[in-house]
Amino acid sequence: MEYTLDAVISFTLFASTLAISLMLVTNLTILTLNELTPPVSLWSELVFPTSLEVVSVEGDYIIKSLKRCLVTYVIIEPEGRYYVGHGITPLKVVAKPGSWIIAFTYTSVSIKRGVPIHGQMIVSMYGVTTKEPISPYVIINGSNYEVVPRISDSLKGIPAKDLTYSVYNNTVVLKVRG
Amino acid sequence: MNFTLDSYVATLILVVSLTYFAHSVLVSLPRDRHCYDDSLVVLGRLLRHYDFQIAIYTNNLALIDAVVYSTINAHHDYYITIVDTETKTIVSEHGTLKLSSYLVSVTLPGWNGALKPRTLCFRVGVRG
Repeated sequence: MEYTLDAVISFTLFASTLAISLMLVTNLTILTLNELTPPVSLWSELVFPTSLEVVSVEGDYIIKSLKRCLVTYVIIEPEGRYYVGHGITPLKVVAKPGSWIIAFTYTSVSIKRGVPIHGQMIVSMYGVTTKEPISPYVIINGSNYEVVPRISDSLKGIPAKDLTYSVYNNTVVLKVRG
Repeated sequence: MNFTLDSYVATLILVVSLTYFAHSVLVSLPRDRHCYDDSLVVLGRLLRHYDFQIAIYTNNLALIDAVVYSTINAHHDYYITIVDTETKTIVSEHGTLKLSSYLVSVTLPGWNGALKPRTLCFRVGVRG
């Protein structure tokens, strides 16, 4: 078979035009799909990865977790003094019944309420501060408190495979598949 | 029916172009946009804490376990291998062996000759 110059030029033009047309159609389709479709999120809520618990046992307090983990605790006494300590769970801590006990891991918080505090107190695993600390932290106002980041801490009934790790507000959290 | 080379070439161009087009559209279809590499997220956060680095350099496996479980869920598993970067030998490995593939790795640079570089290979077992 013999190709003339005309045939080669027409073939090149045809191939180039087809390629450019398809690229345009592809890009326009992608653009339209992105504009029309809202972002898809498979994740329904955020939870803390670890679940700490502060329990009272015969006048003392024990910080518990399902598996041994490194925990930092802050005890705020009714008089306003506070102490920071750390250890590996299950960890026994000595505190008065009216004291606040706030236990932190790098990714979660557990709180035992104490007597109401005058004013506001911001507590992180590094101690009590007046400015916004590295999260997670707790803002105590009187007898109420707020954990930052504000997410659920219950993992009951959620299959472990339906979770994925993420960073939210500077804290490692788990996203639950919805 | 008589096919010439022209028709074969034209068909080939059309098939390749349409395949590319279909592939591009399928790839761009909206799907999960919150896809994170779990192991990288966890290892990145672990390395921010001195306790973990102390545990690595003292080869304290119990402390490694406690620090890792202060970051991950108690129902999840993990695997970590500590490699001496200079001699390319495994210093220690810990965790669930079934997770010993598809690891993320990072190299600690060491310090002033006193602490040798160590490469950490890590995977958290969220999905297996």
